[in-house]
Amino acid sequence: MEIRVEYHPGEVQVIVRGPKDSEELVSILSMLRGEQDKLWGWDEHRTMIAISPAQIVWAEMVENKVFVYTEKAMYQTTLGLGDLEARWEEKGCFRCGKSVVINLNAVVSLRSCPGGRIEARMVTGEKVVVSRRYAPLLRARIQEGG
Amino acid sequence: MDTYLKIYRWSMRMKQRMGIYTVALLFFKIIWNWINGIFAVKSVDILTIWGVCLLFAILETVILPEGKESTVLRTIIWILAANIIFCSGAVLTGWFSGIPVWGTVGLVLFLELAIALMWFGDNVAMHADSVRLNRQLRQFQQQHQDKEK
Repeated sequence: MEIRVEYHPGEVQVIVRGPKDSEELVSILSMLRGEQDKLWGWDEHRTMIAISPAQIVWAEMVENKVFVYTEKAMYQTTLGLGDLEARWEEKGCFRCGKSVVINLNAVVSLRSCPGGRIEARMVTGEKVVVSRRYAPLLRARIQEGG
Repeated sequence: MDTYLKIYRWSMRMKQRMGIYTVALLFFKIIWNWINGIFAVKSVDILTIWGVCLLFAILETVILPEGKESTVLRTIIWILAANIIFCSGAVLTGWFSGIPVWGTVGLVLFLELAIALMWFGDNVAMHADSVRLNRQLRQFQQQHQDKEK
C-alpha cells in the first residue's frame, strides 16, 4: 500500500484508490469514515454497506470468511467473530460457538436441548445451536441482564 | 450446507441417545454375566446391543422429531417401540438367556422406569428449562431496550 500526503490549503480531502473488491480498501474506508458504531460489509455484488449493530441478526465464519446476516441480506466483512463480539457485546452480540456469533436481541426463543445445548430461533427463522461449551455462558449472560 | 447441517444435527442427537441406551444395556449385560460367573462380554453381544440401540435411536428421531410437539399418540408409539425393540432384541439375541422370572420382571421394570425418566427429561425438565430461559431472555431484551432509550 502506497501512502502519499499532499499538503494543500482548504478542506481536507482523502482520495483512496484501489480495486473495487480489495479487502484492504474496505478496511481503510471503514476507518476513514469513522463509523465507529457501524460494521462495513459488502454483498454479493460487492456493494459496500454500513451495518448498524442492531441490524445484525447473526454472523458465522465459513472457510475463514465472516458472513453477517441481517433480517434481509447477507454481507461479508473483514472483521473477525471475536472482534465482532468484543466490539458490540454491549449491543447484544454473543459468541455461541467456535464459528457463530448471535445478536441476543434478535433471538425470538430459546429451547433447552439434550446434552446441555441450547437452540436459539432467530427473527429470520433460522435455528442456531449454542454449543455445550457456550451454553453456560449464555445462561449467565441473560441472567446478568442487558 | 443446510442439508449437511440438518444431517449433522440429526446424527448428533441420535448418537447421544444411542450412546445412553448402549451403555445402560451393556451395564445390565455385564451384571448378568457376573451373576453367572462370566467376567467378559462377547464381542457379538456388544455389537448386537449397539445395533439394537442404533435401530431404536434412529426410529426415535422419526417418532419424536426434534422441534415437534410430542403428542400423546407419538409418546405411546415411542413407548411401544422401545418395549418391542428392546424386549425382542433381548429374546432374539439371548443377551440374558437363562434369566429367572424375577430377573425378567426386574429388567422390564427398569426398562419402563428408564423410558419414564427419558420422557420426564425431554418433556418436563427440558420444557421447564426452556420456559425459564425464555423468561430470562425477555428480561434481558427488555433491560437492553430500556438502556438504549
